[in-house]
Amino acid sequence: MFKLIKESNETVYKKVRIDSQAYTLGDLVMLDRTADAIDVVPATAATTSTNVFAVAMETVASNATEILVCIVDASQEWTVGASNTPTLADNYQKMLLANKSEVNNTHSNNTTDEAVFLQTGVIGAVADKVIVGNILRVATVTA
Amino acid sequence: MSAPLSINQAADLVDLSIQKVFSKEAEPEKLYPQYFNVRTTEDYYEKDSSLSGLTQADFVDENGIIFADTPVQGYKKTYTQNMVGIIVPFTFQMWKFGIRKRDLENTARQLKNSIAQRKEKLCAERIDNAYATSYTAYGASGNKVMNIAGGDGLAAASNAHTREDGGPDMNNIVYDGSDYNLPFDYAGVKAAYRTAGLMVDPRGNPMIPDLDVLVVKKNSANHFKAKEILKAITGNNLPGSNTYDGSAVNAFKIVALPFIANANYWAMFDSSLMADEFGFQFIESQAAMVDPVNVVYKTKEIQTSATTLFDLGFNDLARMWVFSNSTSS
Repeated sequence: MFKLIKESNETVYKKVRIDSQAYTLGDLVMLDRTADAIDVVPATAATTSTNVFAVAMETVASNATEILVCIVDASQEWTVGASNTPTLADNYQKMLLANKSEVNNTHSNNTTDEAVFLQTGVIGAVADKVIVGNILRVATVTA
Repeated sequence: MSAPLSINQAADLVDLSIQKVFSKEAEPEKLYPQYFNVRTTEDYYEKDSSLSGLTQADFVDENGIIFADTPVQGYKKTYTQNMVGIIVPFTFQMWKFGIRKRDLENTARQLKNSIAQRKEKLCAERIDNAYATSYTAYGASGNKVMNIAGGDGLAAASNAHTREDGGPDMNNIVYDGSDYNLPFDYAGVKAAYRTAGLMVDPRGNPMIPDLDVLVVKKNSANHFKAKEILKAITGNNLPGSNTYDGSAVNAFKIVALPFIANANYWAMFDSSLMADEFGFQFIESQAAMVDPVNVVYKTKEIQTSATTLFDLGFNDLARMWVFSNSTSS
């Protein structure tokens, strides 16, 4: 799960519409840009930094149509579970998501638009596989 | 800061069918002053050094020239103040309908407890890492490498503490003459006494501490053993024996620490030497202070924080502490 641990700006929450599905506290969500009644969907390994948007601030059941989220901004530091044993040597590498609640730290920098997490440190024992860093959210990416 | 606690993260607090909501947290016992010399400072860093005494006087021949000696400078150590702090944020709705309505608003106590627990943990980690010159302190917002060498650049427990005048190295690992790191029992305490019996001042003169405090992990096998043999020692009986022999060691005070991770580790020291020049130091420039509540104007989020400033460490332990990790190595 993603957990906010530091922020220099004001933390902003917002209620957004979802597609009747369950979310768990700490799930990363991305924008749904199709013309429908859904604002966000769960983030995936294919989520880009232009689409990553917020983190679920509550656990909701599968019949929920709304969820409270914390909007991601550049001043925040988040902790999150990692797929592989973390190392400080990976600091400042950009990483893909493994899924909506885990980052895929492959020990090499990912330069694609899907790299939405920047590791800045390791938390706890390496066996715990928890890293700290920034969620990379940008307005647009030009080739 | 953490994301503010929202209504649905603790929905029980606004559920009127629940009559009682308890605040559950450990109340840490303030133990570190029992094995750290605690003092205050107003400076960002404190640095101390030492000067030895003189070597022993010597014979002078008839009308001969009296020999001269000068003191030797000791090791220096710098203590730099570190800030430790924490913020607890709530959404306005959670504060109003959950925390305040349930009389759970004593966040000041929670914040102070949080800081007290970290202090106890950091102090206990010095025992856990007595054989190392650095270790990684795991924190909720990141890992921090702690450099914990003494003034001589060595770990707290070492059989090669460098003597200031260049004399033989000094040992403060429990040693019975053939094995280091004896397990804790009556023989171990005697070995601790033997180790202390070989301690010297910076010029090599005997400086034997009277070991009167034992540090162990609370409710560990060492703690139980300590209580068992202490009963015999206090009655001047030989522990583990039904003979008429008395105890060779004096009674000691047990400091049982909940935050020690290594249950096999034990240490003894002379509390009469616990002062600014010897032993572990805890130097504080600001006690745990709860800051005024902040309300974020645009979101009405309620934030409360607490901070403290201190440093801990040691310059010279080789003359009052003995350590064992029970490995008999």
